[in-house]
Amino acid sequence: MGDADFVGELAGNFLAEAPGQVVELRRAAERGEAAELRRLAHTLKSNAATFGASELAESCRALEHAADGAGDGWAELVARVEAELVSVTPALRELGGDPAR
Amino acid sequence: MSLVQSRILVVDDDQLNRAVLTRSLENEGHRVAAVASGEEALGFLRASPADVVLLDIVMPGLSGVEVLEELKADPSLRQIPVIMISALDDYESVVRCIEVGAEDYLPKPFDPVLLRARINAGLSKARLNTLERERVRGVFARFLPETVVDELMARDGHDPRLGGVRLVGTVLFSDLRGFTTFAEATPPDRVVEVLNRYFSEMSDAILDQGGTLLGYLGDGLLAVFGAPIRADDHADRALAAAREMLWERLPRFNEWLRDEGIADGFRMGIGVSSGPFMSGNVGSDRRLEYMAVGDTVNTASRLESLTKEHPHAVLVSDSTRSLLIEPDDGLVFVDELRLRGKSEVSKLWALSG
Repeated sequence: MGDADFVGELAGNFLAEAPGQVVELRRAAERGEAAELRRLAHTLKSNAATFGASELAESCRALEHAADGAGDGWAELVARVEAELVSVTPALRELGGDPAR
Repeated sequence: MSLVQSRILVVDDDQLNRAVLTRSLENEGHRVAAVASGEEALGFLRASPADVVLLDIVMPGLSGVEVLEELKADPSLRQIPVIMISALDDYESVVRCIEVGAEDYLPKPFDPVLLRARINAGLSKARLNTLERERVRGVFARFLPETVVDELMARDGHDPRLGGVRLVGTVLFSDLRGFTTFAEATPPDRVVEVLNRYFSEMSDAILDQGGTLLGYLGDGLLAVFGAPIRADDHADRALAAAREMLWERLPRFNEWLRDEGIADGFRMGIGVSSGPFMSGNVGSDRRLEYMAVGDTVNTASRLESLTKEHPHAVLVSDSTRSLLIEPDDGLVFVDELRLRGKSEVSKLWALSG
């Protein structure tokens, strides 16, 4: 397996799992589970950064930090993460990571 | 890179990170194992140690910091270099880990060049640790029996310093009679050759009986039994060593002297005494010696001097005789003796073949 295939496979895995992670993020925010929210945002942040999805990583970072504070603003930050994921998806698919392909 | 492949353990709860790290490191020619939690990591390392550990900080269950603390508290694992995996903005945790003993940290997302540099630095450290252990082992093996070195290395991890302890053991002093006169009339290189031969024989006798060599003083030798590692049969071991020195090693040494036409042979005096003494590494940063201090040491030295006035080559204090596990039929009563600083007289014994 070449490096390009490997990256493609990783990106594919990421695209397959990320929407589920965003769902979990929203659930944790709604339930006020700060620790879980922080951990999920942390993981998504590092994955996003691995693919160079810096806007997505940045929105996750903001959410991770917000998890240390009061619960207000969590929902908006989760929405921002979701929006960034949507906008970066086409680029990740170009890495060869389209799970439908 | 050495011919032996390096073993690297990746610990990260995130599947993507594990995949990326495993792949990158395997491409570099390393053997890689990856686990998803701190608990698995500890189990893995206790079963099969690695050369370097890459450890994620934020994990559910045991965190990377907690895993690191456990590794550094375990003497058999604390020398493995640990590189923390961390997001760049988690600076506080990184500092904390370095304080606890992490070697370095690797920021996420992974930069291949940085990863290679950090891993290679960690591997150099691992090799250095191994070399250092071997060096320390070599130094200790010169005056301690192998079994004791093994125990010390296992007990103290990679830093086997011998702290001061007070324990009951047996001290043995020996001296070569007439050597000073011989040395004054002999070329220096010959004197050194003869002394090396003599000390090799006698040191082997001490070490074979589980004793610890404390030092050579001119043609004299000081050894202890039952320190730094306790041994209940220290008195028995010391008498066995004295016998071996006098009736096996000395005749062989004298025979060599005669064969070489160097001298007719020497006589030896040995003093043995048991009781409490303090022992430990004493000295400065630049020179450190394992030493024993106390009345028992003085008594052994005095008994060795007394062999000059007696026909017996080995004089043994009553304390040694009373601490024997197995009674020794070879001990014969010689005299009653008042030892310095003691009000009562004590019996003096000689060892016969």
